[in-house]
Amino acid sequence: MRWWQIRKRDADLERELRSDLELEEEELRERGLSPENARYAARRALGNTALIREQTHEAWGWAPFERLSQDIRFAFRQFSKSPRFAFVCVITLALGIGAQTTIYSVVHAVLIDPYPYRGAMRMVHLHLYDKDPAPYDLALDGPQFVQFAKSPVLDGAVAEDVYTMALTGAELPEQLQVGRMSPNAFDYFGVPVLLGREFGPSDSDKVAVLSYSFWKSHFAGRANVIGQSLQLDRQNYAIIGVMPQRFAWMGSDLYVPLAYSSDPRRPANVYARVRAGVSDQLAEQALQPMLYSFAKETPANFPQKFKLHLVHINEIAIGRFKGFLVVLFLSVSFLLVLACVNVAILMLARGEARQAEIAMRKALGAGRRRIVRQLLTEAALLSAAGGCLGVLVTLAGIRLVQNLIQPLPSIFPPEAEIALNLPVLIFSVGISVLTGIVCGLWPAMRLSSTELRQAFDGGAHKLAGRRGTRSAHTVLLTAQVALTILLLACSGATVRRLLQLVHADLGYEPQDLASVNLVLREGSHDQWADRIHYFEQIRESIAIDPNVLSAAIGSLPPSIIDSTPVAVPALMGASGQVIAQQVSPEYFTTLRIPLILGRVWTATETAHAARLALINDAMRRRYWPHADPIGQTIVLNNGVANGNVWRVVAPGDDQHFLVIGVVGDAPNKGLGEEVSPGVYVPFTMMPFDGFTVVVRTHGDPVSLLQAIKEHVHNVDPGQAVGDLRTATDLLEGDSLGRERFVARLFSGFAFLGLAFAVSGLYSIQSYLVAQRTRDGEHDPEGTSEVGNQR
Amino acid sequence: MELLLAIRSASTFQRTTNDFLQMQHGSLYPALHRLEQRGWVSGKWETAPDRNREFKYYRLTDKGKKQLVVEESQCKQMAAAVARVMWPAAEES
Repeated sequence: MRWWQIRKRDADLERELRSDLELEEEELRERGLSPENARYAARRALGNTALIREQTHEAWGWAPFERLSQDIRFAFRQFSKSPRFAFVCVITLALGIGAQTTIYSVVHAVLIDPYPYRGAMRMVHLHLYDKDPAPYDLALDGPQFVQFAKSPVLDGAVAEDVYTMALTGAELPEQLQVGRMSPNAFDYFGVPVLLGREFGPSDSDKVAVLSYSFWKSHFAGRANVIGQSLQLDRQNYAIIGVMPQRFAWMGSDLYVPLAYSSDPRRPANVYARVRAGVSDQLAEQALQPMLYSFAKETPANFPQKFKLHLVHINEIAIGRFKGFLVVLFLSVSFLLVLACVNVAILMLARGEARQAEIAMRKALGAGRRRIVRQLLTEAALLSAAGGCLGVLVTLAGIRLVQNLIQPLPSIFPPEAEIALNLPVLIFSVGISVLTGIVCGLWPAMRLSSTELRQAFDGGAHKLAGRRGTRSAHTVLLTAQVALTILLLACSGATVRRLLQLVHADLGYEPQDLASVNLVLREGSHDQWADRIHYFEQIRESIAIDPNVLSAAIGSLPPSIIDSTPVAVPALMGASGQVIAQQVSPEYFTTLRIPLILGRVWTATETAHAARLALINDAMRRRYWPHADPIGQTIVLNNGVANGNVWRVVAPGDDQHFLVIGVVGDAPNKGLGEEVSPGVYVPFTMMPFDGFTVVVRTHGDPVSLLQAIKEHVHNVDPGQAVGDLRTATDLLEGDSLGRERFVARLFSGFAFLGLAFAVSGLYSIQSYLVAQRTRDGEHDPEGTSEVGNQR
Repeated sequence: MELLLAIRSASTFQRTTNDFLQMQHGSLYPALHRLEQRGWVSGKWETAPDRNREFKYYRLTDKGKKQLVVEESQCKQMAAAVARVMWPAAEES
C-alpha cells in the first residue's frame, strides 16, 4: 500500500465502522431496546474505535510512519515553544562543523596535500648530506639518470634544471624561469595538458609547453597560441601546449625538453617518486650504493662523504610551519570538541528541565520505547538541521577563504587549490550529530532508573538539581572554559610574536629598498675580468637614475644563504660556520647597515679582488669578544675556492682574508632568528652567472622597474632584468606572512571558542533560572524550603 | 464465503456460534484488514438486498480459497491432535 492512499483507506475504515455501528444499533432496536439504550449497547459492543483504528493501521503496516509523523509534529511544537534553545543548538552545531571543516580543508589543501601530481604524496626531493647542514640536491648526468630511474624502489624519476632565459624578440628582453625537463616529465607528473599536447621523447629540443600563468599574462589566454613560436635567448621555440593552472612545478614560466648529454659537467637535478609500499628508509638504503658508484664516476657532482635523505615535496611547505602544525590541528579539533560540549550542555540542561513532562507522559501510559523514540526524533531533527546548516556554513567559509587569500601567499605552494575536504566534513557532521542525539536521549535514559514520584518531587530537591547532573554540567563547563582559555592563550602568543616581528630591530631600513635580479646569458662573460667589469657597468647604469639614492651589488636580507666553514688561524684552531656574502662597497650605505669599527674596502680594492673582509657584530662577539678584530686573518671555505660552470674565481685562488671592519647585525638566518656570525667579502671574489642589484630609492621603488630595464638595455640590449622585489615584500614572504596567517587563524579559533563558552554558560544559567522561577510559581511552600536548604 | 458474509456483525457471529465464542468486536477489523492486505479477501461496498443502504462485503479471492483449504486441513489436524491427547481411550475404541 502506498502512503498517499492512507487518507482514502482511513476514510473507508471510518465509514465501515460507522456503518457497522448503525447496523448493530438497528438490530438491537429491532430486538426491542429503546433507541438510546440501543446506541449505547452498540458502542459497548464495538469497543474503543480509536483503538480499533490504531490496530487496523498496524495491520496495514503504517504505524511506524504514523508515529514518525506524530513525533515530528510534536518535535516542531516543542521547538516553537522554546525557539531560543533550538536556535542556539542549531547555530552551535553549524558553526562548530563549519569552522572545523573549513580550517582543516584549508590547511590540508595548502600544506598537507597541495599538489595535483600523480602520487604526489610519494614524490621526493633527493638531498645529499655531508658535514654541511645545508643539503646538496642530487644531480646526475644522462646515462646515470636512465640507470637511476630504473631502480625497483622508485616509481619513476624526472630530471630537471631550472634556467633563467631571456624572452627575446620584443624591444626589451624579459627574464623567464624555464624548466628544462627530461622527455618523460609529463608522463611522470601525470597531469593532462589544458591545450595542445605535452612533449615526449620523439620531440625536438625546440618545443615549449607554457605554464598557465605565463599563457594568461603573455598570450591573454588565447587558444590559437598552439603552433605559434616564441624566442628564448634568440632561438625559436614552437609552442605545442599549455598546462592547467595547478601545474606549477618549480614555478617555471614554461617548460622545454632537456637535451640530456653524457657530459659530466652538465648534470641535471633529479626528483623521484618512491614506489607505493616502499618506506623512505628502505628506498634510501637501496639507492645509496648506486649513488656511491655514480660518485666514483663523476666525483665533481657529489660531496665528499654523503648520505642520501629523501624529503617529500610537501615537507618543504610544512617545514615553514614546523611546530605550528600540531598546535594548529589540536586547536581545530578543540573547536569541534567545544561545539560538541556546548550541544551536550544544552541538551542535558533541556533534558533536566523536561523530566517532569516525561514523567507525566509515562504516567499517562507512554511506553519507554515510545518516549525514547520521541526524544530521539527531537534530537535527530535538531542535529540534522545543525548538520545541514553546518554544510552550508562550510561551503560559505571555503568560498570566503578563497576570496580572502587570493592570490595565495608565496609561503604556500602555487599548486595549492583550496577546496572542500569531504571526508573531514562527513567526520565533523557525524561526530556533532551523534553528540546531539546521544545527549538528547539522556533524559529518557535517566527516567528509566527514576521513580515517577521522584521526578515530581518539587521544591528543595529540584531546586538543588540532582547531584549527578550538576557534576556533569560542572565537568562540561570546566572543560569548555579551560579549552577556551587555552585557545585565547595561543592566540595571544601568536599575536604577540607577530607584533614582535613587525617591530623587530632589523639592523637595516627596509622602506624604499628593493632588489632586481639579473642573470647572464648562458656562456656570456665567462672571463673573470670581463664579468666583474660588466657587473659594475650595470650597477653604475642603475645608480645614475635620479630616483635612485644608491645602488649596490649584493642580496637583500633576510636572505638565507648556505653557511661556509671559517677558521681563524690566530686563535688556535677556532673554526665554525659563517654566512658569507659577496657585496660591493656601496652595500652598507644602501641598506643603512652601520659601520661599527674600521672601514669598508674601496672600489679599486674591489676591482682588484683584494682579500679584505668585513665581519658582523655577531662574528666579533663570537671570536673576539674582548679583542680588536681589525687586522686579523680569517680563512673561508677551508682555503679552497670552488669554481664551476656557473661561477668564475678571482685570480690567485686564495681564501685568506684580512678583517678591516665590523658592521652591525642584520638578520641572516631569517626573521626572528638569532643573527649568525657573518662575513662580507668583495663580490669580485667569485662572481656567479647571476647577481642582484639592491637599490635605495626616492619614494615607491616599484615604479622604477621600467627605468631600470631601460638603463640595463643601454648597457647590453640582450640583457634581461628579473622582477623587482621590495624589502617589505620579502619580509612578508619570509616570516611575516606565516606569522600573520597563524595569528589570524588562532584569533579566529579563540573568538569562536569564546562564543561557544559564553553560549554554554548562558544556557546553563538560563536553565537554572527558568527552573527556579517555575518552582516558585508552582510550589507555594517553595520559598520556605529554599530557606531550609540554606 | 458464506461464513464471512454471515459475520458482518459481532452479534451475528455470537449467535452463529451459540454464544460459545465470545468475540471482542473490535478485533474483527484488524483481522479482516490483515486478510485483505494478504490478498485472501477483497472488500467492496454494496447495497444490501434486504436493507436500503450500503455495507462493506468481504469476499474470498481465489488465492484466499486455496489458503482456506490449507488452513482448514491444519485446523482439522490440530483438532484431531487435541482430541488424541485429551481423549486417547475414546480414540482407540
